[in-house]
Amino acid sequence: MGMLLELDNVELSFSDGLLLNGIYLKAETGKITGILGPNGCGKSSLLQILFGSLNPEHRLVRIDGKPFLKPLYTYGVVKYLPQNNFIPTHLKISRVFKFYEVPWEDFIKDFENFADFKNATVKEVSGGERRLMEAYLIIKSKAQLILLDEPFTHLSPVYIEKFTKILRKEAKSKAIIMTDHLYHHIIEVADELYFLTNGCTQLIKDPAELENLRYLNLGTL
Amino acid sequence: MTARLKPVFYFYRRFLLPSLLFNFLLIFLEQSFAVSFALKILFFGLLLFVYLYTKQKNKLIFYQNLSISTPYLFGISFLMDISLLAITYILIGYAT
Repeated sequence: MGMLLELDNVELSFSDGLLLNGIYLKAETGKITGILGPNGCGKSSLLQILFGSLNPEHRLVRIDGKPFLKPLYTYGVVKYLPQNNFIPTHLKISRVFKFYEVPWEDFIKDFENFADFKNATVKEVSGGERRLMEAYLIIKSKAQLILLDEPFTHLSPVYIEKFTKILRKEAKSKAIIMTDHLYHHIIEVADELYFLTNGCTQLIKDPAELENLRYLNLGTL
Repeated sequence: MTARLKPVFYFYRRFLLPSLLFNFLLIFLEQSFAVSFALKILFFGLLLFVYLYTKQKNKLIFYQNLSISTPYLFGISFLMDISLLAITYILIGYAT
């Protein structure tokens, strides 16, 4: 069954001022929603607020029109890939796949060179391999809503290509919200695009608008 | 329920051996159970502080992705640790 998620009425401030105050974000099953914006505009904070690991002064999360007042992760509907590594390094890779209920065999089918790592611990793989594994676990998990913060960073072009294909396939049955500074990948996969600046989101209908908003240099697209 | 307990056990497992050795030390120093209990509260308070205010905070997302909140993670780990402390006191009490 599909879901329609809406986030609005967000107010987040830090000691140096208001970071987010005019947010409206919508995501639905079958669609990939991209968020672009300059450094420090609050993209990561926005994903953390949605997930529930960051408490702003105000926020309203609705799924199919019904408000969800507790952190969204406590309902088991969402999985979140943060910017930095999040899997404890002392765990065995096979154990992590079991916890996230993602079949190891499927992962090996897509990424054969990981086959020898099944019984290794997380700290035994390289930074890029670890990032790929984390992104794969999140995107293939059974959650209805997937939040991805810079999923393409640290991935080689070959892995990005494979990962994009997997993303498109999984998006058929999930709502996906993602952000990354590798904007061309976001523009390529996103069905809906938001631009975040000065604490507010703006729906982008044509990627060329990003040039007018001075996110991209004129003539980039 | 078990699905949430297992990851918590794997979180606590890292501290199991040091905690057991600490329990032996407390018994060797003839500390009462109440004193040991208080020290365990202090230890878990410090551990929680490290996880909330250092780079370790990111690791909590691993558990939150499994619908395990931070109070649940630390609460259950504390219960496991106090059970271990009680078992150590009982077994050593019988042996001596």
